[in-house]
Amino acid sequence: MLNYTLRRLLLLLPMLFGVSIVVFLVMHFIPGDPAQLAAGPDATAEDVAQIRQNYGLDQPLVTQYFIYVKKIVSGDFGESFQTFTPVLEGIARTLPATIELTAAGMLLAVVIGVPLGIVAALRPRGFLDGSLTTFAVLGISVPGFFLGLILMSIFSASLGWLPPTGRGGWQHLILPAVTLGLPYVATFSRLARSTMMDVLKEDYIRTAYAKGVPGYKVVIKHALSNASIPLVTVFGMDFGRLLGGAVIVETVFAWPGMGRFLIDAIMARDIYVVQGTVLVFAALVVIINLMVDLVYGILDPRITYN
Amino acid sequence: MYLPKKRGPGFVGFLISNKRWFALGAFIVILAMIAAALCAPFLFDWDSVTKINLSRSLIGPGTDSLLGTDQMGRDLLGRVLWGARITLTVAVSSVAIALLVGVSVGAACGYYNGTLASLVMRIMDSMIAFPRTLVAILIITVAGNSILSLTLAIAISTIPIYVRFFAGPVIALRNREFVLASKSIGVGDLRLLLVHILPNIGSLVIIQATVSLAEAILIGSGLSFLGLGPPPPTPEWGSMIAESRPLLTTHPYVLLAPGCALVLTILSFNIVGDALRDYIDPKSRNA
Repeated sequence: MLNYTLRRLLLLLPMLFGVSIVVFLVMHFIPGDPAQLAAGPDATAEDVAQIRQNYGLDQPLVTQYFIYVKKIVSGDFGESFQTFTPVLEGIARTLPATIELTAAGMLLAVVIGVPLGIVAALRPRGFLDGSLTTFAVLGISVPGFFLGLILMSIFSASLGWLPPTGRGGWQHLILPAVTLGLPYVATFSRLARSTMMDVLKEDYIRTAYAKGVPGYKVVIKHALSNASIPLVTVFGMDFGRLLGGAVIVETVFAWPGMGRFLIDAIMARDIYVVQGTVLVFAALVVIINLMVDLVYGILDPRITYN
Repeated sequence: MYLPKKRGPGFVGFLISNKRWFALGAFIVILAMIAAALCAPFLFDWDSVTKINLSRSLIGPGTDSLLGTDQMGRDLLGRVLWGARITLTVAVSSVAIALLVGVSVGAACGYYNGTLASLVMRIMDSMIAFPRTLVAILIITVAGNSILSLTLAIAISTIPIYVRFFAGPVIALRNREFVLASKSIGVGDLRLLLVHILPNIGSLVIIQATVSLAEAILIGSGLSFLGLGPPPPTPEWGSMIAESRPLLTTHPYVLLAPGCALVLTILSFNIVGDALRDYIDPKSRNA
């Protein structure tokens, strides 16, 4: 297991390497001169040339890339053109907010979605099953930004129960987390329903009932633990999408996370910030997928990592 | 998985005979949206939906203007209808581009299945893991804000999903008797793919395309909301919602008009996609 983890962590490097090349090239092809942007509109030609030299922007592309990689390896993600503060500082400031939001959204999806799906699977074609189907289609059809604004107008503007924007106590987290998590409540409940329905047909479930195991125990211990593997797989696959959704939700609720940091940087053509945040986003996705792979072994002892 | 040659009652007949009223309603909504997209230029000229006319700003819904006007005095009904035209154009062309590339690459990868194919699949896998919205954002950052770059961004971020999705069925079909039989009488690879294999995944393509349209609209409007869509004053639903955010509490109809059109369209494509799956492949109904 340790061996496997280490090997997977090593595989992380070429992947991040690939992402860094793509992002570097993308940033290079962005229209506009970053040195001019950094210098501001009033700068003289000499100032711009000086800045270009300082940032190494006058070097050939390949050299620029290697300078960039060398800096990243030593923990230097460059400086923001707008604020002249290190990019890493900005990431350290915004990353916790994004993790808090996505974790809350995912937690909501799992804690609400999975039980709903299980109950629906126990009574297929019942009332809950029917409403769940309707809810699931609605859940994937309402764009996050629209849902967020509607929730904001109801719970903040009209009822005054929750703060509309910003980050603070748990009250601030509710609306963004619900907005982000709701489509995934829908996906998870549908998935939990269909996998549970498959598992409940298995022989070992009938055996468990025949042995006299109480119903709740059959469902939770025998069925759910076997149905959880596809759920975990989808959890890993959906995490990337959830991060993408977080970019939009952060904008709606003025949540000070990495998504907003990225969008603001894109608008200002602040290339080092864009490079750094995209790289961290990629690393997050890869790490979550690694964790999912490791969780398989805990859920199903038959899975080994050799 | 054949798309039946001799169609039975047809899709609408299927919906009626199975009492799928929601799906029928959704199908009608899609037809209405297509009609709106086609007719928008005849009902409202471009100037009336883009030109600022502050003397007419924020007139409530009524006889003067059916859905009212926005903060810039532009007719909301006109903007919503033009929005349908832009949204559907972006969605349909991005899905078409993604299908063209995705199906060909996916089919080639599934059919040849060599080292190159598995390398391509690995690259596609890592692209799928990466947030789609972020891929699209990066593309728009380079290509600039326009309808074309929005279309390309959605298309390119969809391609890996399609490659992955269509490679599987092709792998399954490759070793079926009828393909091997054709191969044994000397049918070439290209003909085998185009004539014998691809027609068999036709129904999959139709179902996937319908659901993808819903997703393309969802992503496109999200990007526009972030300010990465076509620049103002283009009446795109996502950017209309973003522009009218300050009016959320005072004049909610300015926001609700494009919002409801957006939700209704996405919902309809999802519902029709589901119904289409049941129509084409009745076995999936209980899945």
